[in-house]
Amino acid sequence: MAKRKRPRTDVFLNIPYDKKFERLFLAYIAGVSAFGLVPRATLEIPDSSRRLDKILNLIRDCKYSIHDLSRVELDRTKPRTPRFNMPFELGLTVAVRKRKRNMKENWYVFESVDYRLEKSLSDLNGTDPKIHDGRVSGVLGELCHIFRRRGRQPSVQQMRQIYREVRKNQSVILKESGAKSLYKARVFKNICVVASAWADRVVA
Amino acid sequence: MTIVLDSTFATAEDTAKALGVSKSRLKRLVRLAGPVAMKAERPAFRAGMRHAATSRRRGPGVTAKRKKQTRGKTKKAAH
Repeated sequence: MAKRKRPRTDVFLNIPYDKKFERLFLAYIAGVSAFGLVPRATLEIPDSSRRLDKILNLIRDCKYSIHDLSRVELDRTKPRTPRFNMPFELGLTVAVRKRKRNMKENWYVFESVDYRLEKSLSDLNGTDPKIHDGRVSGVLGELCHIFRRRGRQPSVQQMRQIYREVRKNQSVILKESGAKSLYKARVFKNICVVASAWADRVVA
Repeated sequence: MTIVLDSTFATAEDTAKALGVSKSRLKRLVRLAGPVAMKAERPAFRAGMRHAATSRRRGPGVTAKRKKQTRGKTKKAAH
């Protein structure tokens, strides 16, 4: 009897979409792709009235999720408000995971500053956030602590190489997509495909 | 807690399929990731073989003179 192919695994990336976060955005995609996982994000969802339902479906479809709360801070434009999307989507994820009895709690919180999560979101006390210090190497290192793959385990150097190659091709990808920002659906998808192609080549 | 992954390693094709990227776009994007590898795989790009590959693409024995003759014959037949 032919062996059944195991399905691929999607990872929900709940990350901020701002200019200062671009390097870490690419690092998350490169890192997740290095493990042979498929990054997914709300960027894929077009703006519409049914957006919330689609976000919930996306969370349900993904086996793992990564929530970066490092940029839940006041913005510069008046009225100055923090972005609540990331904590809100983390809440949705926790609820979805808790609802399914057999589903493991495969969600991870990333932060850039130690002990800040305890202050900003004390409901998560007892959950150890992954501290990346706002650095690419921090993100890649913490991803290595979360995931392990038998056979094709990527090293941080290999993840870094994938990141570098994606970053090198950033302008070409933007041109191909006809966009100026990385935070567009088409650009996100293109970056994921390029990162996967590099991962398949680099991680032996 | 470390998660040991047992799923298949997602290739560019798998990722494209999951994200709804068309095959033509996938081809273009994969080229971004591996132009060196693609060149190495194709013997035409090896040193000293470029000429052979070019002539093969044109087809053996079809010279410019013969092409011109063929065009002339077609012209006559049309009249």
